[in-house]
Amino acid sequence: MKRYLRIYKLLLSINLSDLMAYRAGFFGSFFGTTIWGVFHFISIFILTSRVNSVYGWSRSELFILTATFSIMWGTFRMIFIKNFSQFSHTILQGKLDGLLLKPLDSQFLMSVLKVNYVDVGRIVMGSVFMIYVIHTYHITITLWSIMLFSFLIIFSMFSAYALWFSVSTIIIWFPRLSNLIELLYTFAGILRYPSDLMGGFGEFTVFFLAPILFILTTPVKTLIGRMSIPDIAWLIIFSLLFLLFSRLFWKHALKSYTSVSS
Amino acid sequence: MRFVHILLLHFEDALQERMRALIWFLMSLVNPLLLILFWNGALGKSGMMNGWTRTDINTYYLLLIVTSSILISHVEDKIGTMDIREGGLVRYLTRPFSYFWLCFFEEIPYRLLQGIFAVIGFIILTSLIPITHIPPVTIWTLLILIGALLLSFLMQASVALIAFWIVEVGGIFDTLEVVRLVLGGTILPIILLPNWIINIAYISPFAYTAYFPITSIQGKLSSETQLWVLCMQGIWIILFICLYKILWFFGLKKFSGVGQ
Repeated sequence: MKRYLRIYKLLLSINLSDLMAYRAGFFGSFFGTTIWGVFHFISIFILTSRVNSVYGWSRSELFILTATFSIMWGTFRMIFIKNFSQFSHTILQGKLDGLLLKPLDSQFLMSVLKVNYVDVGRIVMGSVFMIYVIHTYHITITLWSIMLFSFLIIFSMFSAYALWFSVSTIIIWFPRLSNLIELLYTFAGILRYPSDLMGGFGEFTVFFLAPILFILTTPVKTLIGRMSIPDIAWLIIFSLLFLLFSRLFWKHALKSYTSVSS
Repeated sequence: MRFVHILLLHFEDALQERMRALIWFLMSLVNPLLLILFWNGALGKSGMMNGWTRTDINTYYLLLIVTSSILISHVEDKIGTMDIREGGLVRYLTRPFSYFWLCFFEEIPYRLLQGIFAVIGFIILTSLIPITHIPPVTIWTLLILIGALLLSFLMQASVALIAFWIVEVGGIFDTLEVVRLVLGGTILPIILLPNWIINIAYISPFAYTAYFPITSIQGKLSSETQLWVLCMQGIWIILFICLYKILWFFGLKKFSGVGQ
C-alpha cells in the first residue's frame, strides 16, 4: 500500500510537469471544463426559477445537491477521467500489453496513471457555491453532519469508480466502443437530481439505477439534516460490494484480452 | 451526382459504426427524460405553467430527442481538431470538391442514422409517456426543419474555423455548446424561461435550431410566426455563410499543412 501511495505521489508530480509544459492546453481545457460547471448551476437556477420544490426538495436543497455534484464530480474527473477516456485507445492499440508487463497492478495503472488537474476549477466553484447557498439560505450545518457528509462522499467516490470501471472493462470485448465512456458521463447527469425523481420510471428502473441514485443524494441528505440510516447502510454496503465486483470483473475480462492489435 | 456518391459512401461508414451511433442517440435520450421526470414532479398531475400543460412539456422533450438527433450537427470537432489542428485538411484540399459540402455530406448519414434511432425511441416512449396530439407536418414546418439543419451545420462549421488561429479550441466549442443548450431551449422551452433570457434567445441563432422547430411540429406557432422564424433562419444562414467564407479565406493562409 505504501509503495502504491509513493508511486501515486510520483504520478501527481509527473502530471503536474506535463501541465506546466503545455500551459496553453491547460488553460483551454480549464476554460472548457469550468464552463460546463457553470452550466450545471445555470440549469438548476433556470429549472427552479418557476417552482419552489420538486419531489419534496426545496430550491436551496437542490442548490446544495448541485454544489455537491460539482465537488464530487470534479474530484472524480480529476483523478479518473483521462484514464477512462484512454481505455478504448489503450485496448484497441494493444497498449495494455505494456501495462500488464509492469510490476504494478494493472487496474491501478488503468485507473490513475493520468491526472486531470483542470477539474480543480469545478471543485473550487462547487465549494464556493455551497458556502454561498448555506450562508444565503441560512441552512444549519453541524460539525457532525459535515464529518458524516465527507465520510459518505468517499463511499460515493467508490461507487462511482466501481461503476465506471466495470462498464469500461466491457471495452476489452468491444474496443471500438470508445463513446461508451461518454455515455456514462451523460448518465452522471442523473446525480444532479434527487433520487426520488426516478420513482417516475417505476420500481424496476429504481432498482436498476440504484447504484447511481444513492451516490450523491445520501451524503447530501445527511448534510441538510434529512439523514436516513437505511440509505447510509445501503450506500456503504453497495459501494464495497460493487468495488469488489469491479475487481473480479476486470480479472475475468483480462482472460479475454487478445492483445491482437499490438 | 458526385455528392450523391459521397453521401452513399459515408452512409456505409455510418452503418458500419451503427453501435456508436446508437450510443450517441442514447446520450441524447438521458437529459430530456430526466427533465420530463423533473417537471412531472414539479407540476404534479394537473399542473400548468405559462399555458403549458404537463403533456405539452412531455411532448416538447420527446420531440427534442428526435430533433437534436437529426438537426444538431457535431461537425466542430472534425473540422477544428482533426482537420485543422492535426493537419487532416491537407487531403481534402487536393480534391476537386468543396470542403464545406464534403463535410456536409459526411455529416448527413450520421444525422439520418441517429434520426432513425430517435424516431424508433420516440414511438416506444410515446406509448409510455402521455403526450399531446401532434398535427400533420406542414410545408412550413418542413422548411423550418431544413433551415434548422443548415443553420446548425453552418454555425458549427464557422466556429470550428477559429482553429486556424487558436490551437486549443476545445474551450470555445464547450462554450458554444453550453450557450446552445441554454438559449436553444434544451433545458426548458424558451417561453418558460425568465423574460430577459427570452429576449436574448429570440435574437440568437440557437432558438432557431431547436426550440422553434419543435414548437412548429407541436403546432404551437401561427403561420405568421412560422414565416418570421423562416426569415430569421434565412438571415442567420446568410450571416454564417459570410462568416464561413471570410474565416476560410483568411484561415487557409495561416494553415501550415502539418498540423498546428
